[in-house]
Amino acid sequence: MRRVLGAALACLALACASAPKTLRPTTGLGPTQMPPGQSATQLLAEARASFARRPLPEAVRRAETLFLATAHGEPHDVEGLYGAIQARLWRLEHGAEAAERDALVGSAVEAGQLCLTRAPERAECHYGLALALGVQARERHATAIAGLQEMVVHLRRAAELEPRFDHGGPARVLGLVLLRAPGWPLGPGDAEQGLEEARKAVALAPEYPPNLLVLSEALLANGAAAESRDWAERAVELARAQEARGEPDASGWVREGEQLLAKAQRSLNSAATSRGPWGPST
Amino acid sequence: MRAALTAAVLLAVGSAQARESEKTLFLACAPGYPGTSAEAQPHMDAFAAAVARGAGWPAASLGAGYEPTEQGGLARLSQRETGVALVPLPFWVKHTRALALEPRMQVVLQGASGPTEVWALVAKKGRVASPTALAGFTLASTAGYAPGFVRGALSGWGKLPESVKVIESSQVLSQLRKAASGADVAVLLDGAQTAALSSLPFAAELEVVARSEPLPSGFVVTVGQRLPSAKRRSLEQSLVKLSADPAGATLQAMRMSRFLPMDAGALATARRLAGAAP
Repeated sequence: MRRVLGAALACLALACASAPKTLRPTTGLGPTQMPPGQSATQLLAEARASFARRPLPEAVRRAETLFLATAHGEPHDVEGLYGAIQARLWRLEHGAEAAERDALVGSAVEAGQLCLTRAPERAECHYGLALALGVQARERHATAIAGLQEMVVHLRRAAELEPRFDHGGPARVLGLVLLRAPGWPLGPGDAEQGLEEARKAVALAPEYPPNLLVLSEALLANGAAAESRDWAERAVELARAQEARGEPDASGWVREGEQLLAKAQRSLNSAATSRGPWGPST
Repeated sequence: MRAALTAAVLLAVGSAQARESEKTLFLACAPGYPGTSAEAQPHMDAFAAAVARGAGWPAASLGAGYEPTEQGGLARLSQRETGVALVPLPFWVKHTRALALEPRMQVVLQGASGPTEVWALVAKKGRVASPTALAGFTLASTAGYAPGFVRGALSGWGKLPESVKVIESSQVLSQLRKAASGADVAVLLDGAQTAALSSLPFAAELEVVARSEPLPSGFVVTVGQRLPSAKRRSLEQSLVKLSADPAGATLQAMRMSRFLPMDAGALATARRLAGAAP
């Protein structure tokens, strides 16, 4: 999921102008119905098992269908909706065709909105909607700045409601948004606060590699390259261990950690050789 | 269909005639602004296509690129194909003499009412009554890469002590927090940042202690003699046409609203700053 957000925030170029988009509750789940004879609990378990088989695209599609069936069958369900958001965002990051991208983004946001309508005090609804808004910001540039501001609101609320959700996900993703979004006054970007959030995420789940990756990135953005390198090393070490245990996202974490290691090293080398008369850029 | 085919053939011939040696790059260099060259490229491509079309140039004869760092901008400006550039005033003040950057048009940024902006020096309330009170301070700004500009912009207020350390910082919010907390930090804000200052939760701790005179936000410049006069004129005309586009999507994507002819007063102000810059 870190990768999803990273890509979403990478859109923040010159063109990411403000274009507020009103959120609206919807029932846009798609045509799926709950299969007869299966309980919501069974469906959810089957959906999660199927999603765990990523990167097989057909397994993720099946997971999405089952998550949606749960959401259809249970009027108060939020776990199926959150699962559907995860599956849709995963598909967007793993080769979804251009023709279906817009629909996937829209349906992920709508699932998040519906989730909030059903359960405004559930962390996964705020968190899932924030993730979907992040991807929408990337795919539809005109919504980027407004979407990022909205993400921050939902992530802060998710952190209040359930800080440990998704291994400290609210703080981790908030940290990424604050690190990568355009800074004041254009957007919510704020590297110092990003570092604070990254530290919170690591404190909540110190063995979860994406948290360490965000902390490494935050330290680098705040000029602490040596510390950044140390955390990236630790993240790669943990990610390799999880890769060996079959974690489906671990290889991506290893790659990101290695890239951060290289960046931190370049920053250290550059600081050692090129301090100008006005001091280093901060 | 026949007309379409003819047009396609003509376009192909036009493209072929735009030899590599004739290609001009329009560089937008904006140190401290968000985004990367790669992220901005689709918008720069659209900009180049619109400008070439308006100027009556073959589409392939004009390219455009974006550089968000001073060093990246200098590297691209050193390339022979870069004949024209869009630069903010601090960059121009610092590099105009070395690179022979001749202002041709002024730029109006999105949200601004005109082609000028007033920069404001912000410090903790009650700490800085005069330039001498800044002795030993760090003065942070997105324009800090051009310390001559920073000192020149504030020269109407007085001469900054030599001990003031001017630094470039894109983390303006962080620097403002330091100032508000009582650290020896002052921050020079551009027009948009100054306008947003009151929205900060700690704004009450800060005050504007000095303002610049109205300064041009930026220029479209030609680089040396790389662009022949006739091409330059057609390009300028195209930029004016682009400004008149009611949808304005091309410029909007670059966070600009229009280009204006050079104003003699603005040019004189900028030249005075550049003359004073070390």
